[in-house]
Amino acid sequence: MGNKVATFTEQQLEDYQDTTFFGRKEILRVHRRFRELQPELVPRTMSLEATRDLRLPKSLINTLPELKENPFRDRILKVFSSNGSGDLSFDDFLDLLSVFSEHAPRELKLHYAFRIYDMDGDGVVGPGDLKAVIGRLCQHERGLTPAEIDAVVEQILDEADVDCDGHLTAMEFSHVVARAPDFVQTFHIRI
Amino acid sequence: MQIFSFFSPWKQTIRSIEANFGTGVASYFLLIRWQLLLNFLITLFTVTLILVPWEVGQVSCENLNLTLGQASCENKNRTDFPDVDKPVLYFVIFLFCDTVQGTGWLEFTVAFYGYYQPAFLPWGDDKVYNFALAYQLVVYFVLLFSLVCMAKSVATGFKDNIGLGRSWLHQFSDLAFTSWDYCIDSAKVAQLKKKAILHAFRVALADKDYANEKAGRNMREKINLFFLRLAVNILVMGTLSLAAYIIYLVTTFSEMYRNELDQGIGSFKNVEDFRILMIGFLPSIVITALNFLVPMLFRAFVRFERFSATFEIKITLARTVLLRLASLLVLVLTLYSSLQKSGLNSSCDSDGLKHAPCWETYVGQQLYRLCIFDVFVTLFITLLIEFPLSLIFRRSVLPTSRLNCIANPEFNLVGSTLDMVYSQSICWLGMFYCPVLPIITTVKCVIVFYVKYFSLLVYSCPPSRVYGASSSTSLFMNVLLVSFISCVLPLGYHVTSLRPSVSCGPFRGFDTVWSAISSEVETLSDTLKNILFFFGSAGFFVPAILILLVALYYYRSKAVANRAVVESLTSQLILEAEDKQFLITRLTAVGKQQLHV
Repeated sequence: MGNKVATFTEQQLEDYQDTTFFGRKEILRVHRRFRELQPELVPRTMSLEATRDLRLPKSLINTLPELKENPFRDRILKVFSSNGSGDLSFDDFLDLLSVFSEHAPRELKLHYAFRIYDMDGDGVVGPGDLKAVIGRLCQHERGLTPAEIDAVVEQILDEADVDCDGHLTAMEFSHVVARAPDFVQTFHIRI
Repeated sequence: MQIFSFFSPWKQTIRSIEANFGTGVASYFLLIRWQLLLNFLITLFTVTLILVPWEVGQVSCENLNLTLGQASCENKNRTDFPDVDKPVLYFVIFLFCDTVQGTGWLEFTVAFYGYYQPAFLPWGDDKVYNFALAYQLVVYFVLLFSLVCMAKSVATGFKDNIGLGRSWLHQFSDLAFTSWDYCIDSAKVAQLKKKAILHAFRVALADKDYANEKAGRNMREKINLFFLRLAVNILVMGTLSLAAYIIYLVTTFSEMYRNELDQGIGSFKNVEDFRILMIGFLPSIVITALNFLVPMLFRAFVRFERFSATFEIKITLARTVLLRLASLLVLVLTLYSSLQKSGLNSSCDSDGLKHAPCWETYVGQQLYRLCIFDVFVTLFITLLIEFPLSLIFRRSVLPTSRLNCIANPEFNLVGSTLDMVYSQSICWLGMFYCPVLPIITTVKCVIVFYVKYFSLLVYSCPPSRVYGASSSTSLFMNVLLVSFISCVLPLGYHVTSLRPSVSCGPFRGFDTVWSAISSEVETLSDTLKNILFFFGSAGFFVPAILILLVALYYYRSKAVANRAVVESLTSQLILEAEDKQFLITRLTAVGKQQLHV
């Protein structure tokens, strides 16, 4: 087998298989996609420090076809980047794709969905967050008028805010979204 | 659906469709795949248990007319092939005409009911394969198998949508949090998806406004609206009855013509008479044309009823489904009644062949033609109408002009789903008369998959309404279940009440098709006979139905009680939150007091 260069050590691969929902082949495929973004920067063999510390800037990751058209991509990158800046190391990148894969359980996806939709990061999804979410979803030259957006936000809070405190906590969010039959299928990125 | 996860052709294709058109459209293709698997298994059952045993067995069977001592006519002979001196082209055309109509050489093969006989085929050394029994038991088993396959999907969908009143309860939250497909990777599709979500929000707001307006109606408006809706419903029923009457007329005309030309059909003398081909296909053409035109009328009528936008769509869909099922049932029942009338006087005298028509084969031929015509129409519309139109208009039309709907027609998700249900109902209805219909339906699934995929790749747009994967799956399953029930009813009527033809088929000589089974049961041992009779008697059915009703009532009460518990818990939660707020304000007030002190 001669010149085959091992990307990860056995220990690393086993650790990854334990902590994510991917198998060996998928982990190597994720590394290949990560490397394709900037081959000069990302080495062929990843040491433990490299997987943790080597970060690609978010402008580069936004060029990935799977994330390019997503209206929430900046929130996704921010939630998954371990230093909060939006730049992803390989560990963060693998984490991201693992949560969005089809094997991840519903509760995990709900947890991350809540964090993504919490635009201002205050731990609850309030009316400001909802306005931002709707604005991004319906971005169009003849989009919703401010009055319509307010009406929609009011309806959402009506439906989901059980204790009537004006915002959605994580529990209320998961109560509403968990039983949506399409959630697991739409909250899914294929790599 | 997960049961059949090992059977997954076209995986890559469906993935690319999902990325480019969203999960709603991809779920339609998953349903085609499910239907393909179901039909493939049905084909396997029919081929191994009916077609192959008959073809193989009748060669080695000497006592072909072994029935219960009742007289039965000889089977019709195969028609002779034409004289050798005709040109080959004529031969090919005749062959094609006969294949497409199900007459001629095709009529006297395993493809149709009339070819079989009620024989006891030798099997192994001393066993016999009772063919009359096998033929019907296989059909019943296949129908039961289809029911089981559908039941699981319908049950889970029911739980999700109806159990907690889901679909209207969390409409806005679902749209905000679960409508975006994270696997979309093309800019054009993302733009269209945003437009679709925008449209969905507007529709949801309009529904809310409509609900508010409805609550505020006074008595006079309500009465007016009631009479208006009553009038429109009468109009719709009238249209349906008119359509049923047209189908009845056309079917009797076609059948009358067939009787007159009984000598001509199946022989190779009449290829110049293109008219015969057309008349044979007339019921299929009329049914397909009605299925296309009448829903347009329904869409125009429903505007007068002033329902909310979502309910308008649902009720139009229900009426379209009713039309399609009614057209199939009217066709089959007309054939039953008119052919039974002519068949009842038949007897097997010396020239008995002419007076004993094989009406089951004729029903099978009509359904076979309907199936073939359906495939033809799908191919024709896609390849010869929509594709050239889109090519012509694409170069010269701006994306924003109104002609864009011809150049880039929207993918009609609901219509395509209904078409699939329709082809499956033809398969179930016709399987008894034409055992080769499941094979054709399997091939049809493959053809439809590739034709629709071609249309998506080349010229279609994603649909402008937001469709979730689960809503299109549950639509398909629910309508399929309703069609299944309405296809089983005519078959049940036939099996228990109609007299089989005396000159053809595996049930000739029996009083009804069911009597083949009951006569077999007579020969079993006494204890087994008593058990089976008990299951068929009223002593079993009445308590069984009572128990089912009690169970239904129990589960319904449980659901109502659970809903009440959920409501009381919700109000408790609200009280707790208010308590929390109260305590926090008290705490801050006390804290401020302490500070000042």
